[in-house]
Amino acid sequence: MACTNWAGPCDASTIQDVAQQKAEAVSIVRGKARKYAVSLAQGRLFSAYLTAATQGESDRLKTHIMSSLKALQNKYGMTDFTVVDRVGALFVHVGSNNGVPETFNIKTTPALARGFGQDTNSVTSLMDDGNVTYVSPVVHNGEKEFVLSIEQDMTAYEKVLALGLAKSLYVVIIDAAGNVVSDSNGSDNAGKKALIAGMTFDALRREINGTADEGTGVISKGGRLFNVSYQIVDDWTVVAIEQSKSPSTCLRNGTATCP
Amino acid sequence: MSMRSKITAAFAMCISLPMAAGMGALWLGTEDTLQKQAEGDLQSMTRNVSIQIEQQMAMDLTHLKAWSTMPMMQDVLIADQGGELSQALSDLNVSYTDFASLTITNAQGGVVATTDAALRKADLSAVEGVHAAVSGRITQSGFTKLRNGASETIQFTVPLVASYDKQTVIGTLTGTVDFTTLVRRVVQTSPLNLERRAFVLTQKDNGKIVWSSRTIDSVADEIGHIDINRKSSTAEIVVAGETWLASFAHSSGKVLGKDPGFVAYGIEPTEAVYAAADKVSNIFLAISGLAAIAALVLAWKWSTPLVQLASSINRVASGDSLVSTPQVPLHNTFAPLVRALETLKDVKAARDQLAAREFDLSQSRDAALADARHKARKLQDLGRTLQDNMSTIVSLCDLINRENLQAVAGKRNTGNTQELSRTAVQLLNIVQAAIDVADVTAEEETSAPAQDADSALKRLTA
Repeated sequence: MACTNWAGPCDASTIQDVAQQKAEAVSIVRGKARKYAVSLAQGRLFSAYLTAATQGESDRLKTHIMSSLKALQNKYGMTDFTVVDRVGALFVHVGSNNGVPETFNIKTTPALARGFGQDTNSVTSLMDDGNVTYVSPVVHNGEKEFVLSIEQDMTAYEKVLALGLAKSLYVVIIDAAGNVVSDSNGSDNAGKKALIAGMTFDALRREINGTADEGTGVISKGGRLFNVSYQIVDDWTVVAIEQSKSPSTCLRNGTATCP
Repeated sequence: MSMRSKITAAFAMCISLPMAAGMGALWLGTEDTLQKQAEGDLQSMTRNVSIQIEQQMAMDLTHLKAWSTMPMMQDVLIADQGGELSQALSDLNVSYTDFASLTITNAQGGVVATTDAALRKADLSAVEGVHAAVSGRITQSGFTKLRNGASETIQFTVPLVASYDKQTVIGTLTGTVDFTTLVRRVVQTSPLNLERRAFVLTQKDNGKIVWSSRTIDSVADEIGHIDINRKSSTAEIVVAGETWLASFAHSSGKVLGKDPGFVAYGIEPTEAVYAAADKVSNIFLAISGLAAIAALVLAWKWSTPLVQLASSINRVASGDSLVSTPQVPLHNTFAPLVRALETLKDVKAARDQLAAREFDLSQSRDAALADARHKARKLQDLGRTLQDNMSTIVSLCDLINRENLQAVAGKRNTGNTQELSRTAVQLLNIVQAAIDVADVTAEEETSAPAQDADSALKRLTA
């Protein structure tokens, strides 16, 4: 039976369930942002706007586009929505960030550069200032007319990671470079090199003989034991850690760890 | 009582009594059958509604299971950050009105999304159904409250299973059955929804009314008095001064897997239940009345010739031989009687004629006899007169003779006087003979007319 109640400490086998669930949760949050980025960019509103016959109709459709973006604001941590046309002019912006310029240099703005370089119906993401930005082009008649950029606040991940966790449990998201993206205890460590029980993630993976996608095991540091499990979510890794209250005893030989 | 009345009554009884006996037996049998049929119909309707409610509940549970597998349900892992679960539950709740509320909890029992505003952010980990669902079981509660202030109802709780391993329970989906909507919809398609009928659903354990199609204050009390463990599933109750027939059916749980624990009552005024039987009774009564009238008419018609015959016979008997006989067809039952009466009339007429004839003859004979006696008497008188006269003559002759004898002495005229005496004696003998003949003649005339009348009667009666 899988561990379903984390009110109390889980053992090494159930920490894997925690990692799996948190990985799934992170995947859902990311997946939702990606889905909305693509569906909005490929929505009929942009096509209708681009084929509008009159200025009045264009204005009306622009209002509709803004309304549809506002409807998604603050869902799944999506805070800012920006649409820039192919010459770098700001078309629509919805969000709390008031410092958005009216014009952008497409080549020097990473999100826009990647957005205009994307294929139709695709989305790319990049980390930027504690946010995840999802970028997708708006294609009309084979031409990339706009780029839609959605910024997702990392607090969405913090909430997901902390959801239902006992105090003895700790979950962290690490990016491909081994830096902390988010953790269940708050965003204080975001952007820093991840150290789990004093180990880097690579060292931890080697310690528990984990694969590139997942791994579960027990590590010790300073006489303390930690149950650790990790799961890959795209280019992120979700790591669940629990500090055991007392060393586990091997039933076979009575030592702290079984050989 | 007149003869006609007696005969008509006799005929009518002969016709109607067997008919009444037959129809009575038929009526009694039919009424009993119809009453049982009506009770059976009420039982059947109640049982059908009970089964349909359970089937609908099973359908609702099936829906709940299907919804629990929707990919969207995985959002429970992120505590419905986007509000999609709440929106989906609201949409489902609008479409599927059998559920009073839909609630999703995480694996710890914390409410993640719900259509019941009072349950938002509530902790349902202590709720038995949620607790059981977290361990992977689909549960069906008894009549309980999910929260304070809510009505007692049944909740279905199904586990939400993680899509990544198909076994980890990541939450629960609870549907609270809205019996008001569910039962009303089921009853609407049932004959129990008709006017004057009522349907009541109660909890099996405590008899509390869950739903009632009619607002009758005393229904709860009266239904509470029914022993639902009795063998017969019908009972009579008195509601608002009116007798009602209540049929009940227990929930079985056959389609749900667990008995939901309700008792369904179908109630209807006894008068309405037995309306069909009463209608048949009325029809029987009407037919019986018509049959009685028909029997009387038939008896009257049949008895009419008989009564006319009796009247005619009576008149014939009283001497009226000229009375007319009733006119009946030849094939009529009483035609021989009519013919007999006619014969009787002819005989009577002949007898009367003969009697008259006899009377006339008798009169004639009496007259003849009287005449003869008169003649005889006259003859006798004449004879006697002649006899007297002749005796006188003879006496005179004797006297003359004696005087002549004395004169003979002188011998003169003696021969003539003797001749005269002899002739007088002869004459006297002749007169005597005539008198005798007259007597004999008178006697013969007295006896002769009777013999003629007898012979005439014999001829007539031959």
